[in-house]
Amino acid sequence: MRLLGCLVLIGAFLLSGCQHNYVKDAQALQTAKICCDSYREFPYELAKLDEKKEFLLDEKAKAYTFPEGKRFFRSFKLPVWSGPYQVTISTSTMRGTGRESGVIKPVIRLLDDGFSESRVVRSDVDKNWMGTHFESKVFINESDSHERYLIIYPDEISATNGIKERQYSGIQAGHGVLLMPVTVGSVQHDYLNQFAPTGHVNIELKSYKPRKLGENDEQG
Amino acid sequence: MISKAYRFLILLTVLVMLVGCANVPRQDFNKAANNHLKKIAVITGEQPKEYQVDIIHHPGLSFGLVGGLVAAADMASKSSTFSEAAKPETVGLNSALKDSLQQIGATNNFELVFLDAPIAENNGFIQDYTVLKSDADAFLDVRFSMAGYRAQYPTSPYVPTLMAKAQMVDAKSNDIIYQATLHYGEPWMKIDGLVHVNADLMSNYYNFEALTNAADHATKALEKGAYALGDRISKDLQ
Repeated sequence: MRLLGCLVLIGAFLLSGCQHNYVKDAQALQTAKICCDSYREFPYELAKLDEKKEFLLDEKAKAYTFPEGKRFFRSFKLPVWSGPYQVTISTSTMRGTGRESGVIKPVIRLLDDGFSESRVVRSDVDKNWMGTHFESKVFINESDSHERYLIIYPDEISATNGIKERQYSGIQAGHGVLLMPVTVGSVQHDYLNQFAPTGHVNIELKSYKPRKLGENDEQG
Repeated sequence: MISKAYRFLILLTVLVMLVGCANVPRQDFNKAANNHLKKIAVITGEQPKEYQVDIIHHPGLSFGLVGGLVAAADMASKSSTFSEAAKPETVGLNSALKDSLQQIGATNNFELVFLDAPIAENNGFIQDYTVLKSDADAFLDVRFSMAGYRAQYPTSPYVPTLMAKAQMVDAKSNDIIYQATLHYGEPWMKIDGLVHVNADLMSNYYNFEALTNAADHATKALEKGAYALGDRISKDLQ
């Protein structure tokens, strides 16, 4: 019995790391200090070509008042342009501490070398295999080579607005994950994936090198 | 019938292998880098000759090779029964796909021509587009690789499911400037790079009998899926 209690405690501790307190994060955003007077003063970290970064945009991030409102953000310095490349930004669903779940609906602002805005990219919902994620893809071609900085932050934030999702549970099978729809009796379980102030974000910079017809594909 | 069962067993083996593989090739279209494209030749391959009815977690699959064969035979039989009722050769999957792909011309200002492609093994992509003798700047090749209904469990609803692959090849450079594997239906495993479009939930069938009895409606749902996949390709090319 004591062992069972320990296991429950360990399980609860491990699960708490995967969950997100959106109410607390929204409060943290309200009280967060504005970091900078302009984009020029943002802390930019270097993004390298053919590299993928995965991070948690949380209450420890810097805050700034964008046209959409006050937001936590991450900012990156893009590599010196030497050929076309693609920037992919994706955000994924995270469970909340209660029954809620959330996902960042991202905005991407691209700035030139004088920190002036050149493009704003908003994301469409891209239904992926494991719940909703947003995916934004932008090519940096020669005509965009003046774009040197990129800022990511949540667009809309709402506890009551989001995307209605079908609920699936994942089962590990081989090296992959099989998904099963969750039903109660014969009724499909839906849930609201709220537009969250914090969450998981991936950024990947990939050289644009289309394969030739007949060349072997390295994937799959 | 047994040969069909073997075919299904092979298919299931491939599905299980895909669980380990879990990624498909993808090349996003870089519109600015391809602004020399004016005329696109579209090829849509063969119309599926038979529908496939799958149960992903068929109970037979838990009982080794013999159980696997029983499961495969059951699904082959369901596929035949549904195909006889739904008559895939008369259903306009390719027409719906072509209708939907017409949007590419309007949204991208491309001149579109639809070409008849030579029949390829397993409805695969053309290996050499010069055989088409077209003056198009690029070839958009779209093929269905699966059409039918899929249930997660014997007691789960049957959901309209389509798999298609698409690639666009620059006629001069032979570069594959767009490539995607598309799935219309309900997600059942995680595959990186796969373009997923959620199926219309109003077209689910509670059991196989309901599916077969509503074959006309069920085939319309597949046409809707084909249109949705074409729509997604059109959006990808914007």
